[in-house]
Amino acid sequence: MKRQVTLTWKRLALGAAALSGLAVVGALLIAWSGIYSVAASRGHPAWLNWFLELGMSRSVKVNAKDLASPDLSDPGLIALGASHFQGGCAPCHGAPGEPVNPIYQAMLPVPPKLEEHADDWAPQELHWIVKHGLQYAGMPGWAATARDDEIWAMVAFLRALPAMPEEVYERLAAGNASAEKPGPEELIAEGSSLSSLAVCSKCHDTADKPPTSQWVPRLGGQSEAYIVRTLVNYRDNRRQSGFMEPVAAEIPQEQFEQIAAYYSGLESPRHTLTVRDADLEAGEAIAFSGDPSRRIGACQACHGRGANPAYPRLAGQSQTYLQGQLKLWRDNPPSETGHGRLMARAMGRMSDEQIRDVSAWYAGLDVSGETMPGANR
Amino acid sequence: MIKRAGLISVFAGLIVGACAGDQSALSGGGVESDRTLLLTIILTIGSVVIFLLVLGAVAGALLGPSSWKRALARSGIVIWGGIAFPTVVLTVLLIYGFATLGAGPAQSSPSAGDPLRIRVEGLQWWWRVTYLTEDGEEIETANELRLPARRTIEIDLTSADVIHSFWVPAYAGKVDMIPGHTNTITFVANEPGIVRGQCAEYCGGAHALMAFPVQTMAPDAFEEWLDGEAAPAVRTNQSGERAFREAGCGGCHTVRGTPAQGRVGPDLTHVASRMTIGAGIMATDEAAILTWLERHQSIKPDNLMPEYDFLTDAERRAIASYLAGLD
Repeated sequence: MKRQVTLTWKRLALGAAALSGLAVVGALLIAWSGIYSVAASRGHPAWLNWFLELGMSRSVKVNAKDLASPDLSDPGLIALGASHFQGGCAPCHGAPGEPVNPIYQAMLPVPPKLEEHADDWAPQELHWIVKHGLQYAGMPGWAATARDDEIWAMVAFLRALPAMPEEVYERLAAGNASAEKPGPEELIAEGSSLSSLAVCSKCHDTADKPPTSQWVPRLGGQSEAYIVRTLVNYRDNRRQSGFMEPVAAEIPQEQFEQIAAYYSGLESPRHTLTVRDADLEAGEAIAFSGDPSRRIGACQACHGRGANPAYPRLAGQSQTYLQGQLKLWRDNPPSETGHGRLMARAMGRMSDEQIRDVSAWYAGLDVSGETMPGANR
Repeated sequence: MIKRAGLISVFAGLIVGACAGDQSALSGGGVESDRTLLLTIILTIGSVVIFLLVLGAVAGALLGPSSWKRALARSGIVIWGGIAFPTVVLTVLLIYGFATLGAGPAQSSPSAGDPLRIRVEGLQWWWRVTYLTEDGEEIETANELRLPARRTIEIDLTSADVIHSFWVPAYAGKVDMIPGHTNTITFVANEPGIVRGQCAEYCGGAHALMAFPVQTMAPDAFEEWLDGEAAPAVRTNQSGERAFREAGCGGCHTVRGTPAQGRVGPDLTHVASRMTIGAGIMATDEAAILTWLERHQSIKPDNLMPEYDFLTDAERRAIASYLAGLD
């Protein structure tokens, strides 16, 4: 005997609900039973791989689509990115002439070789990935997500990487750590235990070389108090930097003071002076008198000679570095310490032009407090 | 009944009590405030008299004998009492009020010779005070006015940020301080003495803590004070000055005669000679200055001075002793 079943919307909905319920119960059963292997050694089945890659690439593209990429052609950005890549990224991703350690080769998914794959992404997509990392892939986000400026340096490097010859990469990545005299290797050989200097001098100045990039501060001549305080702040996550925090975290505490003593006594060469059209007289006026209409204090009161050694000296830093830092302090202060709040407050509402002018003035200033003769006038 | 009368007299006492003192528009310490006071008294007494007359007419119309009612109902009462009388009285008062309050160009008191010119700039939440001398010199101080008695005072009022209002009730009415615009207030203080001024336009969180003392002096004493104010600081406390310099205080504060040339915060050249610190908040002495350095953000929340929480107690004490010596 045949029974007639009439198909109604209600019955259809009930059936669909029952099926979904079954699917959920089934998924729970599979997870609970342990029959699905999560072994990385086993790899993903092809269909799952396809699904995960689709989700990943769509998520990156959609989230990054409104980011605007700055000019990334500055070689200083590429050099800066290279040093960090060497320490922070190459262990998993490998680098030109540098195979990946087998431990990281066994990750699932295998971290891509970026010499080949960095080109797969637009600059703003690379920025998004470096800043936020990727779920289910072991890719960490940036240690200081507020530092977009640092992440753009990484992007500049990643864009240059696919076409970069091995020897260029090696030179950029080693930075000043390959400087001959008195190289950190020699210092270590002399038993002075400053092994960490090898890390510092990848970017910063040495006895015979300026910092590797206009974006990197020159440490020679800074006070011990300032260097130690800054390292402690980086280590304790009280000052934001994806470049410096990992380095400070690795340096043994007892070396902070040795490093500080080394740099405070170091007479290193200055950056090559490249001053772009700036009003140096306006810069000097800001440095000595500030600008009350924008609530800008006189920079020299803290950064000139005779001020507290816990404040940094600015004379002879590069214009590029100072501009970048001033914009950071104005728009997105990287530190909430007492000193950080002081700086953010003291610079008031400095305009872009004022930042350019005062940075250029300090870039041309001799450490002794006088403008270098004929430097940039 | 007695109880209620007692209560009323207590309230009346409180209200009248609030009118006395150094920040009162009823104390009549200046030519302008005397005029305002006279206008106030005329208005108050006149309005009471008129009010009683009206009440009397109403009572007569309601309760009086029919002859009163007839008299009050005549059209002459309406024409003379309801139209002519108010028109005349209000017109006279309006003209008198304009004359008194100086509507239009700022009114100078004729008796008092060359005006003393001062510029006062309102900032969140303090006063930048600059004396403009006849030979073009500018002498800057802050958060306090010293005035010669019986001489015309002409103050240009501006603001660096939001709208403030300059008000020394004992001497004159309030005048707004508007960014990008200069208002001028003119008045004469009658006698030497100390009164208080206050920002009278809400200007942000610490508005209520934006006050200043005003000391009116005999003209000779004032000139002597102004000469002292124009002079640079006497540098005796070297260790204190060093602590002040090393902390970077000079980035925002000026102490004339020293390297400290900042212009963001109040001039501190003679801070110890001022009656108060923090813009009328605390009487000046070394202990108060130290307290200010230790916790000015809780005393005057959100003021622009950074906390300097990293200074040591010794550094703070040295700075306090330096400032307490700047008289």
